[in-house]
This record gives sequence, C-alpha cells and structure tokens, in this order.
Amino acid sequence: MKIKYFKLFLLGTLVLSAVSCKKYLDINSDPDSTQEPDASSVLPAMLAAIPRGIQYDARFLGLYNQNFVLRSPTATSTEVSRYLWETHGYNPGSDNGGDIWRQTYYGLGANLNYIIDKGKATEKWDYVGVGYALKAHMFLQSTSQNGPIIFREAFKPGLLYFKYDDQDVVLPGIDSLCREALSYLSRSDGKVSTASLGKGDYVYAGDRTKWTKFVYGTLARLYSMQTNKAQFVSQYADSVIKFADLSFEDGLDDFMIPFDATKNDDANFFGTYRDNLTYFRQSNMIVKLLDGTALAGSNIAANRDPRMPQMISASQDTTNGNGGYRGIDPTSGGDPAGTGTTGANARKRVAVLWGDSLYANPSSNVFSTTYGKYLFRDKAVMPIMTYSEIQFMKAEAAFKKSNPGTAYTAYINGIRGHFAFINRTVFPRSGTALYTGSPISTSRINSYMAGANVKQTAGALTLSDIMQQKYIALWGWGYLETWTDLRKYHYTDIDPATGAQIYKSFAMPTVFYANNGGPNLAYRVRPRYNSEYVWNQASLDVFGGLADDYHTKPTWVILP
Amino acid sequence: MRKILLLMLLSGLLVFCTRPGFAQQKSVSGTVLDTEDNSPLPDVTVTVKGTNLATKTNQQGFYTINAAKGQVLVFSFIGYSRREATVGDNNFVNVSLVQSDKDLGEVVVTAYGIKRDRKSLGYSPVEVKGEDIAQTKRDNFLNSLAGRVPGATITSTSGTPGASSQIILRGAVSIDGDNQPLFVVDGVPYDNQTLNQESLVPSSNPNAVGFANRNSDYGNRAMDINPDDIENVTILKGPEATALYGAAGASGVIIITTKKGAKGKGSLTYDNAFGFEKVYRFPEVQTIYGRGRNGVSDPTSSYYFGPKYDAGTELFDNFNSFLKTGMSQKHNLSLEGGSDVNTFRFSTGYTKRDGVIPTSSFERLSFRLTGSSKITPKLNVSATANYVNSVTDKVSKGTGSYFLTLLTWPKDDDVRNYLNSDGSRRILKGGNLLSETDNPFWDVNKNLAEDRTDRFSFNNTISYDVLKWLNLTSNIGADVYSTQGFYSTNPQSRYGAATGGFLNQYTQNTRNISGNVRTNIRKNFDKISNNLIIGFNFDDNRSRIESQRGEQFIEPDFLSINNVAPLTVASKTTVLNFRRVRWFGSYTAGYEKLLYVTLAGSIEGDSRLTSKFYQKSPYFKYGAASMAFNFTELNAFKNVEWLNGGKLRIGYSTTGKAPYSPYIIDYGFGSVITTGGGYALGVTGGNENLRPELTKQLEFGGEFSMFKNRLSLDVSYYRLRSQDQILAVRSSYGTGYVLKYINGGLVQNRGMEVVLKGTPITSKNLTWDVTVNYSFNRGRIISMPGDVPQFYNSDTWLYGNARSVAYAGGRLGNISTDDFRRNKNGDVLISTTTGLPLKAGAASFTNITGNREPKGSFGFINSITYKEFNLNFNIDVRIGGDIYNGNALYLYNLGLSKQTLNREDAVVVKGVLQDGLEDTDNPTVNTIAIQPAYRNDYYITNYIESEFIEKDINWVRLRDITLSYRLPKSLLKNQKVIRNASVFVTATDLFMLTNYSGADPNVSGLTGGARGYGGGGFDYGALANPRGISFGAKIQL
Repeated sequence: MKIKYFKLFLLGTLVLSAVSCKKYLDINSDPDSTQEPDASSVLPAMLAAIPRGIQYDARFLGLYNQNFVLRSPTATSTEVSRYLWETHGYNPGSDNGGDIWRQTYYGLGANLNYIIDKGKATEKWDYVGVGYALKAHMFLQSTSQNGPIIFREAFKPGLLYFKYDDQDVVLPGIDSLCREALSYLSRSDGKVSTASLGKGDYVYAGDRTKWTKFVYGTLARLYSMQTNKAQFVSQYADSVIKFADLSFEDGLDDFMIPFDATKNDDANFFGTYRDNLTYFRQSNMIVKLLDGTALAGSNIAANRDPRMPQMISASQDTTNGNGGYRGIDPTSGGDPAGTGTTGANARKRVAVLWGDSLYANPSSNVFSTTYGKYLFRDKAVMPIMTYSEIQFMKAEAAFKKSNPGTAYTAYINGIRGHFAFINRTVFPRSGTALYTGSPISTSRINSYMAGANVKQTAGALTLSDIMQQKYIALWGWGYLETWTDLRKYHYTDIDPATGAQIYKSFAMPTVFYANNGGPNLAYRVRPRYNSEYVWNQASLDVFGGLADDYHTKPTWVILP
Repeated sequence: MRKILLLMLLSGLLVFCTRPGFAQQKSVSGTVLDTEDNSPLPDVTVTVKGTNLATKTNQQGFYTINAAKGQVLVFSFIGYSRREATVGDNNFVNVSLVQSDKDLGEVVVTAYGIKRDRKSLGYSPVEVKGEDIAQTKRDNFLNSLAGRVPGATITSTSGTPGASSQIILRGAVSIDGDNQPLFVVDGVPYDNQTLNQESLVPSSNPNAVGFANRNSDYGNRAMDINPDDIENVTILKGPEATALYGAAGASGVIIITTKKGAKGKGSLTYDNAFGFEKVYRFPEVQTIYGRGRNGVSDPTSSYYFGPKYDAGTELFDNFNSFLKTGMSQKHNLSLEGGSDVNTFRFSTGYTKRDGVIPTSSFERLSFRLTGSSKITPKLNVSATANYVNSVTDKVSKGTGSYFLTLLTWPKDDDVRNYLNSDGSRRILKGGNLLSETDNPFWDVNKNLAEDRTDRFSFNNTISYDVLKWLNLTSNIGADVYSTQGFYSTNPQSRYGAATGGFLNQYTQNTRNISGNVRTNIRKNFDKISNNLIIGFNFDDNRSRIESQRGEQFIEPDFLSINNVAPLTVASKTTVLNFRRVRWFGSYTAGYEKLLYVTLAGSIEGDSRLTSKFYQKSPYFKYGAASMAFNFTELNAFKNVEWLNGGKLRIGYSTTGKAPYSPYIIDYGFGSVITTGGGYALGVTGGNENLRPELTKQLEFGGEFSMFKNRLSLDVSYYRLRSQDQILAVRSSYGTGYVLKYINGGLVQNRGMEVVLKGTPITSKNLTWDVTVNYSFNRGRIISMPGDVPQFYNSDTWLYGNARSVAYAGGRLGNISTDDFRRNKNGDVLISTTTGLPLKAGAASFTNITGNREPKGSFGFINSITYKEFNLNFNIDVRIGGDIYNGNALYLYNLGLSKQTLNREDAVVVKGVLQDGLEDTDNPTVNTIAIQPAYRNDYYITNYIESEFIEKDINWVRLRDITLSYRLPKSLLKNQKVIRNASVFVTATDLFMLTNYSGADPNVSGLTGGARGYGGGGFDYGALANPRGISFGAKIQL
C-alpha cells in the first residue's frame, strides 16, 4: 500500500516536473530575429526581390532578345560562357538564367504565402491582394521564361520532388490568382487602409487602385502572350483590350522598383557601382531602331530618335552616318574595335551602355548619381510594367482584331508614354531621373511624332510599327516581355503588310550553340540547374526537359 | 507477473545465501605501501579471492581481514597494479603496490565521476593519464590524445599556435550534425565551440573578405584547459556511458578529472619548459621557369609558364626568409596540501608560444583553485574555480593566405622587401591591388586578426552518504566566457582594396550552466551486488555573438571601428540559446565478480525540438543494456596459470541527438539589407516535424590479462546505425527554400578497437611498458534522407571542383570531383580544335574519387624506465585514407609544380576526338600533339581534380618523445627542502614517414568547428605541423 502511494507520488512529481520542464524548454524561438513579422515588414523585401530575378537573368535574356551583344566572345572566361547565350545556347551545369526561377519559388515564393496567410489572419486584405498580385506576376514571369513550371504542387509541405504543369494549366491558374488579388484588393473592410499598406509598399505608397491596375496589367500580359492561339482574335484580344483599359492610365501608374543606392545590396544591379554591364554593348538591333534605319528607312539626321542619346551610347567616331552610335551584331565577333584596339580604330570603340565614350567604369564600388545613363545608374528605378507597354499590348490586340483606329490611338499613346517615361521627374524613394541633362523637349517629341519613324494614320499602321516601337519602349527593362514578343513572331516572321521582317533589325546569329542542332533559336530557358537539374530530374524527364536542345522547343503558348 | 518476479528474485537470493562459509578462518592484517616512496596507501581494497569478503586500508595503510591459510588476498587501488598475495602461516601480509594503470580489476572513473570496478563495466573506457598529456607540452591537449586513444581521429587545422583541433570518436554518425564528443571537466560540461563565421558580418563587397569558415581559425575552446591541471582523462565511447550523459554525449564523452590536493604535508611544485619549433615540411616548387604565360615572360603574371630564369639570376630562398624558429615557454606553479578533513590545490600556468609564422602566437594564463572538505563524515564538498585568459594572434589561412602566397612568391624576388621606403606596400605586378597577391610578410604584418578569451568556470560537488548504501550527490557548474576578436584587412591588401580596408570585430559571450542530482544506491545481498543510480540533469546554454564590421579606414594602419567610414558600419547579433533536461537511471546487478548486467535509460527534453507555433513534445527516450562476464572467476579458469583475468562483454544502446542548431523547427526570417529593408525567409526552411536523430549501437568485446598481468588485451567491435539524420538538404526550390531541414536516411559505422598492453621487461632497474592501440572504422551511408541524390558540404569546396559529397551507398568521408567527358567506352573526349581533353563540368561532381577515412590506425606508446631515467614515446601510424592535395593542384595550375617541368615535351593527350564519331565503334584516336610550354591551358584548365587526390596515404609519425631524469632520492636525502626534482626533454612531431607528396596529411581545410566529417583530408593553404623540441625542469618542495 505504502509503495503504491510512493509510486503515485513519484509519478506525480515526474509529471509535474515534466510539465514545468516543457515550459522551461520552450525557448526555441530566435530572440535575435523575428519569426512572425507583420506582413508590412515582409513586403518591402519582396518588392526589392523582384528586380533581382529579372536583372540577373537579363544578362542572358538580353542576349537572346538582342537588347545587348557581348563586347567580346573570348576576352574573359565570363564572356566565353555568356557567349553561348548569344548563340542561343545555355550554360550546362550552371544556374545562369535561373534567377527568375529562384525568385519565383524562394526569393518571393514562400514569403508571399506568408504575407497572404498573415494578411488573412490580421484582416489586412490589401496585403493579401498584393501577395496574390505578386504571386501571379512571378508565376507569369517564370512560365514566360521556362514554359512548364512547378505550379499546382509548388510549396506543398512534405514534398521534395515536384511535378510540372504546362502552360495550358499554368496560365488559367495565374488568371485565378489575379482574380483572387482583385477580390482582396477591392475590400476596404477589416484593417485595410492606405496608411497600413503604405507601411510596406514603397512602390505605390499603399494605393490599392494602382495595385488593382497592376493586376489588370498582368492579366493583359497573360492574354497578350497568346496571339498565336486560335481563340486570340475571337476572345483573347478583347480581354487584352479590356484589361489594358482597366490598367495603367498614365505613366504615374507605372510599376517600378526604386533603389536607395547606399550599399551593394540596395543599388541597381545595372548601375556603375555594381558594375555588371562591363561585358555588354548595345546591339545593332536597338541602334537601327533608334537611328531611323528600321522605322524610317534611313538614318539621316531628321530620322534620328531624340530618345537615342538618352538611351544608348555613342562612340567618338561620328563618321558612321548616325552621329557615332554603333551597335554590334550577335556572334559577329563582338565589338569590332574593342578594348586594346589602337590607332584609328580606337575612336570607333563602342562605349559601355551607361556612358558615351566611357569604356571603363568610372565609379565601380563608388556610389554616384552622375555616372551612367537611362536605366543603368545606381539609383535608377527598375521598371516592371509601364503604361507605355500596356498601350502597345492594346495596340497589337486591336490591330489583330482589325480595329485600326483603336490600335493607332494606343500606338501613339505607347510612344508618347515612353517619352513621358524618360522625362519623368518624380520617382518613389527619390530615384534618379532617367534622362541625362535635360528632359526631351516637347518640340523634339512633336517633331519625332510627326516624322518618318511614326505612322501618321491608322491606315498606314503595321504590326511591325507597333512591335518595334514596343521593343524600344521596353528596351533595357522588359527583357522577358520583349523576348515573348520576339518568340510569338518566331523572331523573323514577315509582316505581310511590308513584306519585311516584323523586327527589321533583328539579325540572326551566324554561329549557333552546338546542341541547337542547326540554326534554331531559343524558345525557353531551362529551369534553374541547382534546383531542378540536380534535385528534380525525374520530373523534368517527363516532358523531355533533359534533352540537350530542350531550350529550342517552342513553348505551349507559342504553338498555334 | 510482478509477484512472480519478486518470488524469483527472493528464491535466487536464498540460494546464494546458503553457500557454506570457508573453514579455518583467521584474522590477517598488514600494511600496504607505495613501492615508489614507501608511503602508506589508504583506501586500498583488499579482497579474499573467490569470496566477497573485502575491506579497505585505513589512513596508515593498515587493514584487517578474515581469511584462511592458502587463500589469496587481492589488493587493488586506482592507479596501481593489482597485486595478489597468498595467506601463509603468518598472520601478517604486507605488500607494496606499483603505480600503473594497465590492469584489469582496477577502478575507473565513469560518468559523473562515479568510480566503478572495471570488472562491472559492459564497455571499455579508455583512460589517459594527465601526466602523459602534460609531458608532450602541447598547448591544445587534444593533440596529445592522438595515438593514445583507439578509435579517436584527431585532426588539427594547421600548425600555427592556437589552431583548432577536431576529434571524432568511432566515426561520424551524423552526415551534417556535430560529431564531436562532449567535454566534461569535474562533472560539468566544458564548452568546446569553434566560432562559426556565419555569425560575423561579411564585407560589403564580394571581391573582399568572405566568411565561410576557411580564412581564419578560431580555435576550439577546449584548448583553454591547462594540460598540467589534468589528472586523468577518460574517454567513453560505449553504450551505457553515452546513455548516462544523454544526447550531448551521443558522439562520445571526454571526461577530464583535474588534479586535487592530497592530504599530508603541503607541497609546492614548479615546472617549466622552453621550446623551439620549426616547420620542416613544405610543398615543393619548381625554380626553373619564371613568370609569364605560354612561354612569354610577363612579370605581372601570377603564372610561372614564362621562359626559364636566366642563368645567373639570383634566386632567393624565400621559404627560409619567411619561416622562423618558433619559441615557446611554459611555467606551472602549484601548491597543494590538506588534512584529513580539508584539501586544497592552487595552480597557475602560463604558456606562451610564438609560432613559426611571424606574428602568430598563442598565450594562455590559467589559475585554478580546488578545495574539498569533509564537513561531516558523511558530507563531502568539493569545488573548483578556474580562470583562463587565452590570446591568439592569428594569421590567415586558405585562399590568398600567406601560406599560398609564400609558395608562389617569385623566386627571383626577395620576399623580405615588402615595403617601400615610405612604409607603403611594395607592388610587384603593377597597379591593380585586386589582382596583386599579398606578400606573405605584408599579409601577416598588416592583415591582423586576434582572439582574446576570458573564461571562468566553476563547479561544485556535494556528496552526502545518507545511509551506508545510499549516497546523494549533486554537481552544479557554470562555464562562462567572453571572446573578443577581430579580423582585418589593410586598405592596401588584396582583399582590403575593394573595401578600402576591412575590420570585423566580434564579442562572443557564452554562459552555460548545468547541474545534476543523483542518488547512488549500492547494496549487496550476499553475492548479488546492486547498484542503482537515479538522477536528474539540466543544461542551460546561452551564446550571444555581437559582430560589427567597418570599412574604408581613415588612418590606414589604425585598427578601430572608430576609424572607418561611419556609413560602412554594419552589425549583426547571433543568439544561440538552448536548454536540456534529463531524467536518467541505471541499474547494475552483479553476481559475485562473475557476471554483471546493467540497464540504463533516459528521458530527455531538448528545447531545440520545441516550436513556437505548434504543439510539439521536446522529449525523447533512449536506453542501454550491457553485460560483463568475467569468466576467469569461474572455477574452471582459476587454475589456468597464465590467464589472470578475462572478461567478455556485450552491450546495446540507443541514443538520440537533437537538431544541432536551435531555431530550425520553425521557419526563420532574416533581416534583409535591400532597399526598404524588412524581413524575408532564410534560405533554409524549417520543419516542424523534425525528430531527434537516433543511433543504435551494438558493442561487444573482451578483456584478457595474462602472464601475471604482464600482457593484457582489450578488443571491442561496434556497429552504430544512425537513422533519422537531420539534414538541411538541397532540393527543388519548389519547397520555397534553397535548403530544407528533413529527417531520414541511415548511416552505419562499424569498427574495431584493440588495445594490447605489455610489460616485456620488468626488473629492479629496468621496466618497459608498451601499449599498442589499433582501431579502424568503416562509415557508410546506407540511405539518404528523403532519398535526395546527394548532399555536399559547401565549406569543403575549397579549391578546384573537389568537395565532400554524401550519397546513398557512399562513404561519409567521400571526396567527389569533376571528370573528363568520356564516350561510351570511357575514353576521354578530346576537342578537335584544341587537342585538349574536355571536362564534364559541374554535372559530374558526383564522380566519387576519394575516401578520406583511414583504413586503420595504430598507436605505439612506450614507457621505458631505467633507474631514474624514463623514456616515453608515442608513435602514431595511419593506414590508408585519401587526401585531396589542393596545394599541389594550385601549384600545378600556376606552373610551379614540378609536374609541370615536362612542359617542353610535346604531348598527345590519350583519348578520342569529339568529332561526331566518338560514340561509334570506331572513334578517332587523338593524334593532335601539343606543346604544353606554349599551351598553358594544358595545366590551367585541362586537368581533373581527381588526379590530385592521393590514394591510400599512410604515415608513421613520432607524435611525442620525452626523456626525463629524476634526481635520485639518495641525492636529496641530505636536505629537507626539495622532495623531488627532475629534468626532461620532449620532442613533438619529430619525424614523419609518409607516402603523401604534400606537406602534412593531417591538416584540415576547415576549422575544428566544421560539421559532419569535417575538413580533414582537404589539404589546401594550411601550414604543416611543426617539429618542436622543449626542455625544462620540475621541482617539488
């Protein structure tokens, strides 16, 4: 009997001490960094994470879409590996071109889920809406870049291997994410307020209407991608026009990410401090679009685009007929008068994108607001979606629907919108203006608009005009959208109205990556190597993702 | 059921109780003396062999026991040889005992300082005497265990003072966890952290300093122990012991007992040592070709593919200009004394070692006070307080370090000229500091780094004999230290140029408190001995690291965080707190001395398993069972003359291991420094379902003592199966993370440990004791967590594409590398344009080309005493195991390796051309001849790392040798001041015979804090262990 009581006592103390010990042991949360931040503390990091994906990958996409061409294919080992992209290849066994993938799943991915969950728990529906909006944006970027992506199984707990979905599943899925975003952004109950959202939102300062417009812009992009589908003219074109109308109304609605430029991590990736443009030179494609060759048929002085000195660099040698603006054709052997060239050729060297006549970076590792030009400055914004882009999408859709009047108005708005973009003076977080010197004067704009580069009537408008002006407006930031456009028209499709290439100045590479199996251009980027090719191979194999020439296969959206 | 058990037990007891007594008993008495100084030995256990009759000697060494003529008395005492004496006609049996530790039947210190008869143990603890450790005169006592502990792999990071060392017992059980044992000093855990550089703020510029546990060593904190304070080290690897120390001891326990005061006349001991050291092993470089590439001279090049040095060019012996003779001094002073009631010991030790690299040094000052008091006959209290101050002045390591720049410094330039006359840096290769390697002198003099530790540890033991058979003991201890350190690069240095100078400073404050209470019940029922231990233990561990970084020095040579551009200052706080609680019990039942069975079990709670968001139990259970069968106690063996003792043992145990890091159950946000700041989830995803790692261990073996105990053998075989490995695996980013913590997989370690001890010679003047330790371990990964294809330790990716990779079916110590591209027949593919082989690229890093785990190792420990001379030496032999010679590859790439001297001979690389026919049945055999002297790609890019993995590396290393001479008693007897005096000379790492072509196969590419298998076997940029010699004297008053 006694023993029984003793045992009970022993058991009792054990249980009691176990219970109090549980409390004693409950110290497993990091006192040094929060484990349950407010959605407003996570959103700023997400906004900053968006440009990383696209700007990192721009070093490769920019070679596919001929925004850039390499200075030299051989000067350094980095250029040797980049050169493969100029030949529409890729770097096997490398994460090059995999940063949008990284940001979709890791950089933003799980964090956006957190913002959504936390927002729902705290009735901050505006944060929930923004979370869905960015989720839709990232998935759209990712599928544009990679084609099939992990969509339905993404972030599913307990999984280490994930099945892919192709675009026939992903695109409707993104559509639903957008609708979720819209429904949450439309709510004003709960803890929703401009001040609350503005705490984390340094792009739109908590303005939900602008976020709503951004979501519509994403929807416009989603349908604008699908011009090759049979339903485009009958259905999708209307969607593009409708969503475009609901989207940005002017340049002040533009979605652009600012940079503080106080240290490496908060400076523009393409600014002089971070010095990532060293190997890149402007392509002949953009030079010919701006100097009048492509759009007006000749580069006489009157045809030169006033945006040209704002956007690209001139060499010191002005005898080439367009004022010294030289571009390079892909795989042509790089800058014909590259570094090290002396004598007469020295003046023909093409300057780096951020400076006329500057070959070497004057301010590497030093913050400067004076060096650099256009989007290539330490403190210049990174645009993610602009009014001008929206107008060009509308123009293209209306044009395809044989509605030249609507198309023409949007086309003109798009061009003027890009001028306004360059001339913009107010930026979030006081970013640097994009123009160098003074803004482009109204008279120069008007004379350009009245000139040979711009079609003067709706009847004269061609698809080529729309797409090439869009190329100019998106040059230097819309790497993915531009590439999607080029792919939609198979890079070299002929505009029946002109009998010439839609993109007149697009030059086929003369050398192709060995695995392309001939002169086949790239249609998708392989998913991130160290995520998928190492750890998720079996899933890739299901749809032929392991093939050496996988990147040349047109994605679902490109196919009819 | 329980009643039946009780009945069985009772009837068993009855049976044993009815054994008849021995006839013709008489009272035998005598005195037990120490042979050395004829002082009486108290507390010696005297037993009548074959019975459980026992007594102990009193303070005067006197005993009385009942025995009959012809019976054998056994005298045993810790630290002395067991001795037997037969009772004759005389009623007096006086014996003298010889100090020794080699016999069976002695008492060993086990968990929590509990002394147990060795016969009762179902496992085999290893003991190392403090004296053996101290005599090596090493700063870091871990290094003196090499060769002395079978089954221990000790890897030093480098040969510089204050370098960390890593010890792994019986193989790594965790693929990525901490595999180092727990250190316990006088019953209280002693922190052995090595600072993780991830806690520091890196530089703002990626071209400057990065922190990946490679460029600086932070020591392992167990090196704060003054080796001269160590009385004894017991190493527990087996089942019961680890079960008693809990999960913290899952990788073994190193129990250190410090010296205590002894009663009797007080004594003062002073000893010193003065030493010199020199590095005698260094990689070889060619001295024929000068700077340049493709045969063209270029003094600004880092490569040595230029033309031959002109005849008559003065070539400098830069190695010897740079490396100096290291010097060290050590002083120890101790004062001890005591009465029957109180004892005390105070010691102070000072060590200063200036290494072979200029500016490198280690300094330690230690004070220790130990006291004990018998407050009542039943109540014993002892306490120790220890203060240590350690200062390490460090030099760089790995890429860009003095070591590699010294190796590659142009032979036609005198390395000593590192400054211009105005004190600025002398530039060798032209303007760009980012590509100019630092002169080694510049590096060690201008890129300073230091760690200063102040450590206070305290422990207290209270022991109360409630009843004759019931003891209550508590231990409580605090281990508190603060380390202040900095790491800097000068604005004119290669890694400082990008940031205009870089300073990182940190303070680590660690405060660990632990305590336990336990009851120890010993009660014998006739022949059945019972020992029950029940206890409770807690640990509260806190570490906080505050780190600041600053850049752009205002005054280039002034090191202070106040001397940087204010906007460049960044700071970071890392807090690592965790707690543990544990209830444990252990029960040993013995039948006479014949058979012992031990059962042990623990319930442990670990804060690292709790979640802030989920209900999650922190508790897990594990236990052990073992049996010791002393078969020589059977009558059948009693008459076997040559066999004095024999034991067979078997044990099975389980141990859990909580996650190695706190805060990984829940997801963790990290603050980001991008525009707008804020928080983002870290690269590693938490997992609320994590369970502890579980290791199951089976061990069996035997101990045999023969030929009057002059030969003994101890053999153990073990198998460890560790499942539910906790690993942050890389997987598809579809998880939302780059890495994700998961449980799973199975790692198996099997091995054997053999200890053979003998006394080949024993005579009045000459004694020779020899111990041979042999052990091997085979670690294998049977399956990977989540079946991930591989897991690599990115820290081991030191140079070239070689790194440590774990994969199912592989070994834990794997090295995998790049490979050449091959056709279906395995022929190397050759480029049709260059004639050089094509590399496969990162895709083939799973190409396993090496296994760092040795096939076996031996230790030969000898002690020869001739009159007053003693010669003690320890030879360490390692067999097998592969080493990645990163230094050799580095030199090969740069054209400094002697392997590049054949550059003027045309070569046709063996292989087939990649011309489209390579996979057909008739591939085109390569015939393109190339002249490497003009085609340096041959050396720079067209190699694979596996060619630099040296297979089956063996070594024979004289770890230490000591010759000491004790002044004979006869010389001292005419005075009363000096009781003992001796002089000695010790040499460490005196020679090494190895088939390794590099400098030292026993260095590590990483610090001792590296997890998993660690950085051993990656030889890149680390200094070899120097050869040292020291001498000194010891005097006791």
